[in-house]
Amino acid sequence: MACVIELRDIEKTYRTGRANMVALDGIDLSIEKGEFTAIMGPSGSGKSTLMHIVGLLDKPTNGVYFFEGTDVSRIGKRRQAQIRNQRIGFVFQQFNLLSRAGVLDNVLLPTIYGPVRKPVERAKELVDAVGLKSRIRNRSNELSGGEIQRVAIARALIMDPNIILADEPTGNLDSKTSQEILGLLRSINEDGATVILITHDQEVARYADRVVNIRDGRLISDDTGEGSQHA
Amino acid sequence: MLKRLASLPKQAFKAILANKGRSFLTVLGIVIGIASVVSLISLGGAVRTKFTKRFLELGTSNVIVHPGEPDDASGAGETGSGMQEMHGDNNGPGMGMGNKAVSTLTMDDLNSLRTGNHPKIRAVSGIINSSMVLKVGGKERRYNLAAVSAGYFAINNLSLSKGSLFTANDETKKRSLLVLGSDMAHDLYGNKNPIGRILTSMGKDFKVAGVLKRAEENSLYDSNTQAFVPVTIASGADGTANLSLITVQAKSDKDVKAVKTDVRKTILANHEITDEKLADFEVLSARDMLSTIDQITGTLTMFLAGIAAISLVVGGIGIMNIMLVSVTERTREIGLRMAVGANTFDIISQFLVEAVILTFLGGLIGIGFGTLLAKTMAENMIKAPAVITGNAILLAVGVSSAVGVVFGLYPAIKASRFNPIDALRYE
Repeated sequence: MACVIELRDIEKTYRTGRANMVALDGIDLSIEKGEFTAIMGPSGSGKSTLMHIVGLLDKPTNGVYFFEGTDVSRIGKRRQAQIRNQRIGFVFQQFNLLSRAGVLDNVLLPTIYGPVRKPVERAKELVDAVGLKSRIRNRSNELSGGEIQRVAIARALIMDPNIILADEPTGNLDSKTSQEILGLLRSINEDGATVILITHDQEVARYADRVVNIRDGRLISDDTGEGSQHA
Repeated sequence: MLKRLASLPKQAFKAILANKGRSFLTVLGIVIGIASVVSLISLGGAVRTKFTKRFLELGTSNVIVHPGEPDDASGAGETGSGMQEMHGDNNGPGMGMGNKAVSTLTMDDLNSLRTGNHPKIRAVSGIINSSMVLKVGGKERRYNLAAVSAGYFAINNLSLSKGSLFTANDETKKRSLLVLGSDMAHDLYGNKNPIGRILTSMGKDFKVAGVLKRAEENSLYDSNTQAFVPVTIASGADGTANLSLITVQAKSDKDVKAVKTDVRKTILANHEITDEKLADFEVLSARDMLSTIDQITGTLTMFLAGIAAISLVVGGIGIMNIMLVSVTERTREIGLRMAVGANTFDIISQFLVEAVILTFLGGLIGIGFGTLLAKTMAENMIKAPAVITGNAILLAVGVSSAVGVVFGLYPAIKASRFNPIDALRYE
């Protein structure tokens, strides 16, 4: 079993004024290489916080996090940035493209911060793979929502990461476009990448092989196989 | 790492060009500051060049003896009242002195320089400055009158246009001859020939012997509006006189140092002074005076440039302000960059490079404007070419870039401190 992600008793507490807000309350979760996992829960359940910790954008208050076998719960910012650059690809609900930059420059953004072979050629291949060959000369503010998310997916893939973290990737898209994007994530998973999808939507979670339900900072169910969406 | 750094200028240019108007307004302060510094330094250089040229025209082999104490660095302009008291009994006869009530230099000093054994001296001339008031076209006008030795004209490169100069013989015989500067001759006689005419001043008749060729105008003194008489005319009945100045011409430029020593020794001996520190006169070569003027113009230039540099600080604050706005506007971009792998150093260098490129461009534009301004002003006002040195340009480029670093650092550090999650969610 090759665990890419192993969370042990992860807690995250925010200080808000006098009271402490517990966002994650003892999460244990292992994700194996090549899995397509959906982390599902209503807003405020702590799923976004969990994704931030998994994506090394945030540190847990307590608990241990092994990323590809290494304890990364207490590593420095510099090393965190390096892992984010080379091992993880992010897809956000808000897309987060550089609006003034072109499609290709957006896809190439992570290559500024880490080594990749023949970045421009690779970026062109990826733009082609997400079906935007004809839009490659456009600036990202000239694209539709679905096209923007495709660019973001291409950007997430440029460093050839092991893990794709998609936080509500279809939250701002219509259902037809959502299906296309989810299909794209599915095929990325079939090509070997571990995909973690954060969503509140059961229809979206259905695309995953495994659905982890989270509520009030706790893991309430973890289903693999058919019928997981009914958890 | 190299690739990270190499991509920075391109990113910075893109960000700067994305907001052309704002970028230009932002660097305007730097442009103005650098333009002022560059133009002031260049104009200072022009003034210096002009002074140098004029001074060297006076003769690089000339040594000038000023009356007064050696510590009295400003020389002729400021003779202390103590001096006057000390030499009060030795009041100058004949014509009153222009700006010097009493001089410590005498005809004896002049004669001992002229007659003794001075192998390196080519010529010596004494001068007593005074003035005369003449009626020109019904109006009274004051002209400078210099009582000079016959050698004065040669030493000062003044040549004759009409008539003749007075000779050493005329000097000895105290002949009341007058040599006129070209403008003064024109004022008095227009196009008529002035030679042989009689001019009466202070109850004395002078015969016009010669008219000088027009000399190039000089900011230090103007020989064109002056009249010259033999130095002996100005001395008292007993032959004593107090000289405003003694000019000694060395045989060549390299003899100047020896001549200075010789002159100092001779006059000290005349004045019976053994302690050189107590000398009541000052011996300066043209180059000595030049270096004093150089120092003064140099200090003044740096002072003015320093004041202009204050505007650079103001410009720098403008840069900091806009960089802070830019950091806030681009919070999400910063968050995204952090998410895809930018570390603290990457973010700091991104914004720092942007600020430095901004101020560097401002510096370049400022150098352009400053050069243009200096050239125009130098040509039209100082009438000397502006001196734009490589050093001034290097300084301007260096200072403007440094302003970028200093005032870009705080916004850059601020950007790098963002929490990536908060930055990504920033609305």
